[in-house]
Amino acid sequence: MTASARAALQLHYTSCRHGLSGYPGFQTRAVSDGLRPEERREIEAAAIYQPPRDLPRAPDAETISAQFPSTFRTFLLSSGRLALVRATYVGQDYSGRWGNYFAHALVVEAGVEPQWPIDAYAWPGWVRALPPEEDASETPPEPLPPVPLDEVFASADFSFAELQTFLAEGDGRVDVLASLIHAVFRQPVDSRRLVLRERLELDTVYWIACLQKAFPAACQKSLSSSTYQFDPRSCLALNATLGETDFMFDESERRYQFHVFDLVNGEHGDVTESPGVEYAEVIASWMARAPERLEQLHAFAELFAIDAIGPDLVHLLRLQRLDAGDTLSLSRDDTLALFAFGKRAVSAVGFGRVLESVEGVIRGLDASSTPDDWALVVRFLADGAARTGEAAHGMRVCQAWLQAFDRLVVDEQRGEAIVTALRDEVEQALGDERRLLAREALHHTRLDRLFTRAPSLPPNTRRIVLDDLRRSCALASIVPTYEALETRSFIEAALSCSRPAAADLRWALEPWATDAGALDSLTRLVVEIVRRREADREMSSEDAAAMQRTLGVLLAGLLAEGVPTLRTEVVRRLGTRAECVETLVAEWEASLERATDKSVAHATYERQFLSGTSPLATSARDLMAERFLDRLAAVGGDLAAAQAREWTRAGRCRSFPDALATRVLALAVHSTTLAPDDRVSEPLVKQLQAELDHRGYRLGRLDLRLALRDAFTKPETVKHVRPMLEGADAATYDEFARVVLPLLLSKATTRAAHRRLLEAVCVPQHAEAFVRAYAAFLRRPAKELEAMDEGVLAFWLRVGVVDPGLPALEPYRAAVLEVMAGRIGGMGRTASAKAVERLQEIPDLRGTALALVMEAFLQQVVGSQTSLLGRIFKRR
Amino acid sequence: MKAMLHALTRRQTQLCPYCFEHFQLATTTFRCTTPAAQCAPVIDPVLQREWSDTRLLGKVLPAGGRFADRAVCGDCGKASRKRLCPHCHSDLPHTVGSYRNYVFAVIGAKDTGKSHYIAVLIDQIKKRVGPQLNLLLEPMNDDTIRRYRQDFYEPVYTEGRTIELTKSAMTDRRVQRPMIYSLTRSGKNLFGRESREAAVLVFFDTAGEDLNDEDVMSTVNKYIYRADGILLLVDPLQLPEVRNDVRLTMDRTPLPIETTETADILTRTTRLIERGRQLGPRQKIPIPLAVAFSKFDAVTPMIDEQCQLNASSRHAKGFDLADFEAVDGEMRGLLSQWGGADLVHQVTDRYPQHGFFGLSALGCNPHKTGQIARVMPRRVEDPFLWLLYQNGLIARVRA
Repeated sequence: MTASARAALQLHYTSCRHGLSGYPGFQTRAVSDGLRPEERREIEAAAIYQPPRDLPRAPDAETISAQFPSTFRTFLLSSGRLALVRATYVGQDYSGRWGNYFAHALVVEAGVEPQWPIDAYAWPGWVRALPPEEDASETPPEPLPPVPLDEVFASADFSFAELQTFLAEGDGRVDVLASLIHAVFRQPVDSRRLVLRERLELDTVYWIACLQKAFPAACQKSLSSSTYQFDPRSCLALNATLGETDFMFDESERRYQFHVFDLVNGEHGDVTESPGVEYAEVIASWMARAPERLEQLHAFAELFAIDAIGPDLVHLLRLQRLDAGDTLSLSRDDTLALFAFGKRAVSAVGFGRVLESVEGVIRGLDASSTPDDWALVVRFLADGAARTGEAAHGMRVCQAWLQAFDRLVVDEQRGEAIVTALRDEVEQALGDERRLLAREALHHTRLDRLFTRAPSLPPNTRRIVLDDLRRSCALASIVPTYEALETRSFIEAALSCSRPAAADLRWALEPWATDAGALDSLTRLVVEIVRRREADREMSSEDAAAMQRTLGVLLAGLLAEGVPTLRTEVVRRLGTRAECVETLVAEWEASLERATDKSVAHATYERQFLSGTSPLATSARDLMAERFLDRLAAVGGDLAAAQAREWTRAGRCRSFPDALATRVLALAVHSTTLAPDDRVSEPLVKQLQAELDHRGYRLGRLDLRLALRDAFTKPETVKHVRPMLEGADAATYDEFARVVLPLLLSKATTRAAHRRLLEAVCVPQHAEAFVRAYAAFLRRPAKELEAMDEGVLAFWLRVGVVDPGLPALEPYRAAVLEVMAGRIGGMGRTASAKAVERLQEIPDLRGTALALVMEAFLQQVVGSQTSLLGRIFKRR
Repeated sequence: MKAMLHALTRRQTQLCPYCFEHFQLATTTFRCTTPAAQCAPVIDPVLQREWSDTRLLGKVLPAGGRFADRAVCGDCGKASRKRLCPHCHSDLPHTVGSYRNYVFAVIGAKDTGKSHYIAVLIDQIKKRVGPQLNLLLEPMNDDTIRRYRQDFYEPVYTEGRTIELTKSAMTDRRVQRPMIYSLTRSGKNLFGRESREAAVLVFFDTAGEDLNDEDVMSTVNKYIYRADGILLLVDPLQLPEVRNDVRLTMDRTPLPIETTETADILTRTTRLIERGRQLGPRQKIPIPLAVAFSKFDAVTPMIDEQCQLNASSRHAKGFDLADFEAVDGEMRGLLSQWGGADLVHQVTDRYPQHGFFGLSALGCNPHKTGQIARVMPRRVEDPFLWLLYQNGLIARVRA
């Protein structure tokens, strides 16, 4: 603090001949250097004095001294500096006119050590009038020297002991003081200034002193005061008055305008109940009966950043009472408010002391305390620890937070979000000392407790606990954290429960979900635990297998959430472990389930992980293939057959076990077309044949396919088809009838070829399908007679007439000839005539034996011809 | 026709007699007048800022954006007609918009007797001049009643003592607030019918200190350049020649100490008007200026007994122009004779409407004793009636 700040600047104002204005009249007579013009104007306005109306108008000096109250006003200037003004009635001015007064002001630099302004009241240096001889000189007055503050506030008047005496001198003064203090508390709410009316000037000063000293020195900024106030318009926060002034003291003023305490007539306004009543009653009581307690409170207040009248003062009082060992009955809300205040207002110096005061309250946090309650306490402690930087305070906040964690998260499973977020704040508050938290968190007694509780904890709690252990390990530089004994032991302890569900394992891996090394390590750990428990008969084989599958599914989920390389890395690592194959198969299944294109997904998987000699590749490759096929088959459609063809083409079948290979080859063959002219599938057919030959298998369909191919190129071999068609199922025959038969018929252009074909393919088992396909062939659209038609007619006109009959087909002869006649008759006259000409030229249809047959057929053809008019109508 | 004129008036710009800012009636706010028991009063931040008034008052009811003669309080639901200036939240006279405000400023150096003049003038108009001219002067608000009674009437008339020092408006904001009166003239019009005409008169008392500094004047004496008439009081005992004569001839007469040159005050006043009305340095000031010697009783022995100044004024039927012209001429002569020729020149050069007067508010010299044995005013109404005449508020007569 500089010397100038420890001194007060001065100002004198009165009506005089010579002052700073250069003209006679009311003006600032003299001022200290350093007082700003705007401060001067504020002081001049606030220093106004008007005597009570009931006092003599032309008093002599003795009367003035004895009866005219001076006023002592204290208020904050706009500049932030404190002004202390003492104004005294002077009577006549230099011109002989009445109404002059002298105001002496001191201005104290803002930020100087707090004082109670009233302590300056008795300063002997107050000037009360301008001696006429001083005003006679034409020379401008010298600047006023600054006054050392130590001198200004040196008086012992208005000590707490004196105030105690003052309160004891009048009946009911303690109650009045309590009401006054309470009214001050109400001011921020109702804006009603306090006005106190007394008989004696000194009493007004004492009341103001009592009110000022009821509040800590640092709170005086808002307690502007006037020991004698004339004008109600310009009231300060605390106003005393006496005699007849502009105050009316009527009901309006008493009840609505001000908080009036008329100690002359005993009429006071009501003060509405407010939280300040506790402060008011305790302080009034202390001031009257135990002033040392009040002094202790004010000393205690210096530990806090508190400078306004409000609820914080109540908190301050309660904290101080706790500090002094008083027993307080505080509600939960009161307690919480206490911590909130402590966190907000306590200084670094005071934290230790406050901590001692509230230690009992912290210990008293019980089951009814909410997470927010704990958060408030922990934040209070964290804030204090941050400000003091003391290890003991750091340790205390660590303990409090761990207590909150263990009680709320572990024991009661509530407030997890609040408590975990709180850890960040605690670490931040501890700064470099945050390893303290890890040390406390990993203390063996705490770990033992956590391990004991682990089996009964729900999965989410386990995850939070494990994650917290991870953070603590990291903080304690126990890395990698997933290898730390603390984390692994917790996992092991938690898995000692009998039958975990799928969600029951996620917690174990989730804290390290992005770390391939961790996922590898922890998956192995879980598998190892499961297998050990299985070996120790603590777990059935079914449960162990289920658990490993669960682990695999979980792993798939975590890996799907991570970057693509994470899965590659983890599966590759785990794939080297035989004990993890089952888990990986489950992971593969779950991943496959997610894949959009399952074939591509599996092919990629095979390429990445199943192509080598790892335990995964050797032991799970065929298994996965089989399961994959199952899955595709279950989906339906051509997926399974397509995969079978793909495996055949890729030569994968060769390594499959027999059962799988049989299934794959069958699927592939069945999905191969019977069409003899399908060149594209020919290589596959050959490959299938090779695979079947390799394993010594035969598949009817494939044989049929091959036979049909031969029949297509060498029609005379068609007879070999018949046995296969006889053994074919309905679907196969149907496919043959629809796809292959028309091709073969189109090649049979002679009577003999047609007969040979019909004899080969028309089998009794599938007669109906044959007739359907044959009829469709005959009814195909035609504009002219084709070679295959000639074969058909040559066969059917002769059969049963000159050629041996075919018993199975004879019932259809008439129908076939009718169809064929209609076909020729429907070609139009010219084409029809040409067709008839061609028929007559076919050697097989010449001869007398067939003359009648031909005649009848041609009649049918003519009969089937439609007139031009008829064709037109038919088209329409 | 009357309704139309009324409507036109409502659209006209009005002038607040407190802060002297212009406003339109549609923009005025109102103050809730419901008793505090039924509608809680609050601090008015505008009043606090403008007038340092921290009292709890009725709530301010916002302007509706168009003319209204009342507003309803949103809290208590009751209507209020108490209209406020939108700028400073002072209570406006209830006649605002109906009657024009006439602002009269009484200025003069410290100790020229401004407060005593106002005290006696108002009493004289109410009790003597008003009845003669059918003029009724009535205070328009409680503030005016209280202030005139406490600060002016009681000291002079009841207690027989001089008024206390007028405090600077910079320290006592009450000084800055005017006393507002309605002046009603009743009589018969040209057609012989009974008629009543009214105006609002706004009186400002000023501390002499507040005229010593142009910056202060522009802060607290804005009313001067808005005035409809200025009365400049001159203490003849401040003129050097008079002081010498008094010392030589009337050695027992106490003299006041020398104060500010009246010419300086007039110069500052003129500059304030120039700035406020945006006039050039050579433009005439369009405000009637009455220059009056106060405390004329002190110099009566120094003037000719036959002077019109020694006669009583005769304004029973209107402003007596002949009397004025005689007095005006005599005062110019005396001023020139007593070393005040520069003041005469200053006045005649810049103020085309001017007049010179001599008056005594108390009729005695209370210096030193501060006692007033008996109030015997002389010609206090002359400059005031001249200002009314200049503003067309009363008629002239030539006796």
